[in-house]
Amino acid sequence: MEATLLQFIRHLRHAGVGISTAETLDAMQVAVSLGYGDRQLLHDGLASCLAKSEEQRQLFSRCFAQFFDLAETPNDTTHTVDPEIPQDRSADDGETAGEGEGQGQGGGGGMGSDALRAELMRAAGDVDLAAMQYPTQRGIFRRRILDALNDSGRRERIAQLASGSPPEQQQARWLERERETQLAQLSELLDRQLLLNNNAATREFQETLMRDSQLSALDTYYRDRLPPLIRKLAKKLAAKHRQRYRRAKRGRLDLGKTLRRNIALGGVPFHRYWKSTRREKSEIFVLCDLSGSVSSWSQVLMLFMQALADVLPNTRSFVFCGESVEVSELFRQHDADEALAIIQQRHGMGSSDYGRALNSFRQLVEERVNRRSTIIILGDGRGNGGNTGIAALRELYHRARLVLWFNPESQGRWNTGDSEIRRYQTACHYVAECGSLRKLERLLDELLTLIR
Amino acid sequence: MNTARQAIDELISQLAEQGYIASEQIATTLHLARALQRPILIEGPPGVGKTELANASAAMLKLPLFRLQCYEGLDESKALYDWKYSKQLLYVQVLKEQLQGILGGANDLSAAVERLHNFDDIFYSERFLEPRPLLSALQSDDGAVLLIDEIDKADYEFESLLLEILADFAVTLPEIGTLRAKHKPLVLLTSNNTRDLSDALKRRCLHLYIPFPEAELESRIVQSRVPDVADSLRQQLVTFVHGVRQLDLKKQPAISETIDWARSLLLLHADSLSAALVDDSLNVLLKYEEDINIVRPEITRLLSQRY
Repeated sequence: MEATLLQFIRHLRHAGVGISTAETLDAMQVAVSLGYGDRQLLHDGLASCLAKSEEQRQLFSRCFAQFFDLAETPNDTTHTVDPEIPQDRSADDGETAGEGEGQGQGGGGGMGSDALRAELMRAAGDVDLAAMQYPTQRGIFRRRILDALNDSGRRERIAQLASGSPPEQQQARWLERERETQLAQLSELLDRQLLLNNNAATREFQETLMRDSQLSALDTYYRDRLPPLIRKLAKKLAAKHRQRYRRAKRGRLDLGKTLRRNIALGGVPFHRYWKSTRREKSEIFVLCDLSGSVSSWSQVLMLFMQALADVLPNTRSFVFCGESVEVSELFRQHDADEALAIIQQRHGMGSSDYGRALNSFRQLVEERVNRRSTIIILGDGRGNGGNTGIAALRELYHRARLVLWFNPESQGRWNTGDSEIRRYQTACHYVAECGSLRKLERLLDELLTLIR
Repeated sequence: MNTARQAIDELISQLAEQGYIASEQIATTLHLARALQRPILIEGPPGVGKTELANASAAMLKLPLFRLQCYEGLDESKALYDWKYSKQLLYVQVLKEQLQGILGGANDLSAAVERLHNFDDIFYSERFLEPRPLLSALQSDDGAVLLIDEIDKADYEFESLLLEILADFAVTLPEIGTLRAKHKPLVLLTSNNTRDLSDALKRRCLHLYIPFPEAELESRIVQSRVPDVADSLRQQLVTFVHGVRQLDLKKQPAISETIDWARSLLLLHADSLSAALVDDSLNVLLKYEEDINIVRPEITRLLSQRY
């Protein structure tokens, strides 16, 4: 009973519902107090302690249907197959219901399809089918289950009977049919087990791969999976930084002023004066290179910034190939994905001209940049030997609080060929390598800590 | 194993006696909250009866209801406890002479201080404690219902303050020590989801989401709240409101608005909805001018819908 529930919880976790140990214990108590007899009741009860938001509730309902459909099947044996099952058994129906894997009743003489399934489930329980995680393991588990069912023995028997007398041949045909039914059930069972695990291990593997690898090395299959992953990472970051403890609205007591002003009152601090703290309103400017090699990184950075919008201060986005263009408005009007497509189409794909880009960027933002502004530039610093525009950058560097340069190239390749990154280093507070999602995530994490 | 089912059905009928028509999900969660002694965190759009559930359960259980309305800046001296400062001061004044008598025999300062130490912290005892809703609910003799309303409006710090109460039904006062609940109260928290609550809080609670009800349930709710409305009018009204909820509105009409509308139609002596009548009374159902402008051209279409 408990094993089934634990398995269900594991299934939920695979599906992306975070469940703590304490909640697991709660779920056990809930199951005990409600019993397994009433499906709807169990669903409502478990939902109340396992799904803690509307989004999770939907996932929960889906998983519940998936899981208990599968788990319930063997119990149909007890409920429907054999009407002569003694009364006392139905009394503990509640106990067996939901018991799931492998505990079904073996059914007597006529092996109906339910009895076959029960036998199959028992075998599946014996070989620990729940451990199957990758689709590639199908074969081996199929083999193991068949062994547990003594399939080879059965086949021999069928062959033996088939060569015997007519009634024996009849029996052989019957056994053969039975075997085929069971094989069909087996492949169905394997499919569902994979579905239950949600390919969790595979997905996890893919995510680590995507976080650690160079974006340019990813093919379209993975590239399409990037936005959801970025949103997930951004959500985590945002949750970490959202908790904002209330800062005292007034500052500390201004002792001198208080004493001076209260001399008339005999030094009794009747009026108090506070050193006021001023809240600073900062702004972030993001300038992204859209030229061939780094454009995918620019997209990732912009996606990230959009997803972090509610924890970041006011963010303005700019892109460039030649001239710098502000694209903040596009993000306001469209979905992030859509906006990116439009940006790429309108401004993308050219070779970068840092001189023009930085000069025009300075003209655009110069008036707004002050000692509270943060500027983030994403680019590889390869200007094809043209004008570097370093003077413009240096001017911004003197005005802004922080100028960060994110370079997707690995550090070993900096300063090779037409890379001017060393010169830019002198006009930035920090040049960081952001060659993988994981590094970018860490950089943004640090940035958030710094500016919030 | 049907005892749980029976208990829940009973709960539904008992709540119905109090005029609260509960869905099965609500009753199940309430049953579990009592069985496991867990708080319930209720979420849902405004006006679906979150607060009402607390009122109804208190009435049903015949327990006092302690209500704590959360707002920004709420702190422990307003929510949990405070010292009765004026009473302490008064006692000091009144007892001044007594103190003189006690300390009279001491001939130097250290002896006097020594004598004072022999008395406990009498001024910081439970007698001088001013209980606020949270502490009152813990201290009540035969249980209570504690409603912490709109927890999402309070600050993060306040959420952390609640954790001890929600998990152990105890509060720790620095001056006295830990006070435990004599009888564990039924705690209900409501949230309008204006911000995400912390995981620590969510983990300690059962979660209940109350959505807008199905037409059939809403019809029963209206029947129980405004029994004088004729059946046909009620069906028409509920169907109309459900139609309105399909539109893109700034604020969807909730159950409370449906009930208000039913009441006002009753006052207008209406026995069926007509376009003119709806047009005139739409402001009861919808709270924004923009919403009214969206719904107004749709009235005839919405009225022609069948239940």
